[in-house]
Amino acid sequence: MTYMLNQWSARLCAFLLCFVMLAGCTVQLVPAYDSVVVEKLDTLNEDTFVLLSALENGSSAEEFEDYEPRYNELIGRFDALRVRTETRHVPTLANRLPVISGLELCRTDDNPTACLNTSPAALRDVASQLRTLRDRHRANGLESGNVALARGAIEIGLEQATTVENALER
Amino acid sequence: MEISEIVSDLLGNLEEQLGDDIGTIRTFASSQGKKLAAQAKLIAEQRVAGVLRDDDELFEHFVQSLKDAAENFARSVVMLTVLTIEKAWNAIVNAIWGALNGILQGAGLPSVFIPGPPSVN
Repeated sequence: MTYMLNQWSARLCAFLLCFVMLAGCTVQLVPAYDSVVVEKLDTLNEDTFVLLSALENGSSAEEFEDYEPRYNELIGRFDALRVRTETRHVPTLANRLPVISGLELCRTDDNPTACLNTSPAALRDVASQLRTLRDRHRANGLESGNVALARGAIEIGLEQATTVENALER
Repeated sequence: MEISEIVSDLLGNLEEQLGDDIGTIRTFASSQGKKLAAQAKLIAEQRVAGVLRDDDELFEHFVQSLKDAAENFARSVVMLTVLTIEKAWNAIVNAIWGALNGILQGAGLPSVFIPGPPSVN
């Protein structure tokens, strides 16, 4: 009986050891997938382009008041999403990979994880475009050129964030 | 299951996974390249005869934004590449070493050593 128990315990220990070792040697090099970020990005994407479509032929400074709450809401939501992606855990093991350590682009002093968490920068730029558009609208009104320029920059940033965040779903 | 079958299955899965990931990176790079080029063209047009003609501050804003976006695009490609490396490593660890240990344990033998994280120095 004692022999059987010892044998069973040994097998259990071997299994647990195997499990721990196996689990311990898989790696995570970039942040975990966050479904909330992806859902919020989808909604923000839609709401932003609805606003830009309404403005694409230009809008006078007198009309600004009609749009101000929509600008402010979008800017606030983009900033909140940026903070969420900026403050998540970013594994640092990948900083030792040649693909990263050899690139000047990734060695920024103020942000050591610049190449491992790129959505915050993309979202910061989108919010910046909306702020500039809002302030111009208030001061001088908008011509179609203002909106086209903002739209081009926003599309680039949103595509970067959306592609990266979706890819994180392993 | 024979080791050769395990390796063959693993390589097939790995090839499919890497193919998908490289496809994602290629599509992303192509789309971003077109968008960045279109934005540069638009900035130039608006500077010559548009809203940026007499507005240096706004012109500087969009030029700086384009530069930042191009850099973040390159960083995003690096990030997607690192994600692919992660997936490849984990697929190998989970499949190969899991299968080998399964075989050894099934035969009542102690499990084979498990490799640590990849050497990246």
